[in-house]
Amino acid sequence: MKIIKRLISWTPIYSLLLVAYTVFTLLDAFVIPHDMVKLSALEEGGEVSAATGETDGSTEKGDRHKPSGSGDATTDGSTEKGGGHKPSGSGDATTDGSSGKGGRHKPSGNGGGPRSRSEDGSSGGESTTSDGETRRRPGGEGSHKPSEKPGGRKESADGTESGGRQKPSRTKSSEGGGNGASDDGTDAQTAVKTPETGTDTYSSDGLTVKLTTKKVNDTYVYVADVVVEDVDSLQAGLAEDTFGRNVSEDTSVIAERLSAVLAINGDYYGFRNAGYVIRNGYLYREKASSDDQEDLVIYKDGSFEIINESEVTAKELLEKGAVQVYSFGPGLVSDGKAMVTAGDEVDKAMSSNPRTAIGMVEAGHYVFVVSDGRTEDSEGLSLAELADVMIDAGCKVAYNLDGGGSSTMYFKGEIVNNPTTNGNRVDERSVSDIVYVK
Amino acid sequence: MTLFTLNNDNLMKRTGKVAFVFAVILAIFTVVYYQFSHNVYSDYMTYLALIPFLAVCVPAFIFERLNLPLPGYYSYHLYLSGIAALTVSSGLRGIFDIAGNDSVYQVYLAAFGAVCTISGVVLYVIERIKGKGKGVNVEGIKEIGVREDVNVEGVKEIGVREDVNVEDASVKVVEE
Repeated sequence: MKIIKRLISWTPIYSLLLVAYTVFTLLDAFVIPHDMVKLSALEEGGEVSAATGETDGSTEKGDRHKPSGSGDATTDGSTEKGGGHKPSGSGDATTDGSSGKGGRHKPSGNGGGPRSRSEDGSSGGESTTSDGETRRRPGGEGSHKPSEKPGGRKESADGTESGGRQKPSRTKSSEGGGNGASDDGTDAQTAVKTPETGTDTYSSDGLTVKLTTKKVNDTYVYVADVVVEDVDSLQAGLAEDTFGRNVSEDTSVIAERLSAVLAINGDYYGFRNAGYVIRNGYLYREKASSDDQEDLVIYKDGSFEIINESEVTAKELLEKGAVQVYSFGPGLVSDGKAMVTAGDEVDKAMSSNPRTAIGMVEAGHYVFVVSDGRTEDSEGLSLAELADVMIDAGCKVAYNLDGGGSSTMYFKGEIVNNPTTNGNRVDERSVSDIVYVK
Repeated sequence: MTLFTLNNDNLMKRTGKVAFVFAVILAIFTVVYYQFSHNVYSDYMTYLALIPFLAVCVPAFIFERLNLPLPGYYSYHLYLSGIAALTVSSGLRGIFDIAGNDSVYQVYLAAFGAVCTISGVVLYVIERIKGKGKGVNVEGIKEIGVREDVNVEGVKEIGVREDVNVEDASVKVVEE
C-alpha cells in the first residue's frame, strides 16, 4: 500500500507522462506518415490543397498540371502535350531489357542489358563505354542493386544521419548473377566498392546521358550530363507515389517503378514540415522554411532559377510557370559563378560529405552529380568543391540537394555510387522523392 | 483546515544532488550523441546539461546556503516540472536540428515547460508575500498534518520553524 501510494505521487506520474510524450514526439517526427496525398487522387482531377497537401476531389483548376495520363497537361488554362507525371501505380512502366553496345554487367531477370523505355515506343537505348569494350559499370562487380534490406536511417537535411524507419515493403527487380550480388542481395552488396573511373553513355530518341566517373579531391564523383529534346522529360518522382511527411522509399525503387533511365535523390521534403514543394506542376506545400532558405525552381521551359523563399510565395512561383521547386540548398552556382565559399556549411554540417547536386547548362541540358564520401576511397566533398564540380561541368545554375547517406544515383537500372551512412557499409537510404529523366 | 507540509529536511540539498546527477547524465548523452552526428552540432544539444544545472542545482545551493524560505508543495513541483519539460524539449530540439527535422509537439512541450516554470516562480513569490517573509502562515489553521509518505515512526514531537506564527494553533500528528 505504501509503495502504491508512493507511486501515485506526482513525480513518477509526471515522469511517465513526459517519457510517453517524448516518444510520441519522436515518432511523429521520424516515423508517422501524415499529410499524405496520393497521386492517384490527383489523377481523378482533385486539387491539391497547398496548406495541407490534401485533395478535395474537386475539378482540376487552371493553375495545376494535370497528370498526363489523359494525354494533356494543363497549366494556367493553356494546354501542353506530353510530359507531366505519370502515375506509376497502374504498373504501366515496363521494360524490355534491350541490349546495349559494349555490354555491361547488369543484373536483370531477363538476361541483362539496359532497360529501355517501351512506354512511348522509343527504341531501346544504346549504351557505350569510353573504350568500346565490355566493362563493368562504375561500381564494378559489386554494382549496387536495389536492396531489400529494411531502410536505414534517413538522410538529414544537413547531411547527417538520424532516426530510423521501417522500409516500406516492395518488390525487387530480379537480379542476374556474376556481378557480385548474392541471390539474397545482402552481404556482397554492402561492402564499399572502389569505383572504376570512365564514362558510360545512353542515348535514345530525345535523351542522351553521358555518365563520367572521376576522382576529385580524393572523392569519387559521378557526373551525368543529360541532354533532352523535351524538357518535360526532367521529372520528379515521389515515394510510393504519395506526397507526405515520413513517406519514403529507396531511390532505386522509385526510379525502377517510373522507368527512369537516370535518377538521383531529391530534397527529402518529407523530413520537414516547411519548405516549398512543387512537383510536376502541383503545389503540395506552400509553407516557407527559414528566412534565408534558397530553393531551386525549374520552369516549364526547362530553365533553372535559385530563389529565396522570403522573396516569393509558392503560389507566385506556380503562376510564373514553375513545375518543380526543391527546398534544400544552398544554391551552388548562379550565372556560372560559385555561390558558396569554403567556409559555407549546410546547417552546421561537416565539410566533406557525400553530395547530390543538380545543375543546368541551358534549358534541355542538365547535369546530375553525386559524390561518394565517408569511406576510405572517398572523403567527400565540401559545398565549395561541389560548386567547382558543377562549374567544371558547364553549369550556369546549380543547386545542392540532400546529401550524406541519401546520395544515390541510379543509371540504367543500377545504383552507380556507394550510398552509405557511416562509411562501413553500403546501404541505400529511403528518400521521399527523386529527380529523374526517362 | 489541515496544512500538509513537505519533509523539508535537506530538501534543497537533495534536490540539488538529484539535479546534478541528471546534468551529468545529460552531458554524457550529449558527448555520445555528437560521436554519431557527423560533426553536426546544435546549441540546444550542446547546452542541454546546463538547464538542470543552472535552473535547479544553483538555486538549490543558494537556498541551502542562504537558508531561504522553502517553496511550498505546489510551487516546488510546478517549477521542477517546468524545468524537466524545458530540458526534454531542448534535447528534442537538438535532435531535430541535427537531423534537419522538426515537430510541432516539441514546441508545445517547450511552451508547457515555460508556463510551469514561470507559474512555479510566481507561486513562490505569492507564498512569500502572503507569509510576509515569516515562513508559513498558519493563521486560522487548527491542525498541522504530516504528508503520507513521510516516515514518522519513532517521532515524538513535531516542531514548527521559529518563524512560523502558531499562536492559538493546536498541533497534532496526523497518522497514515
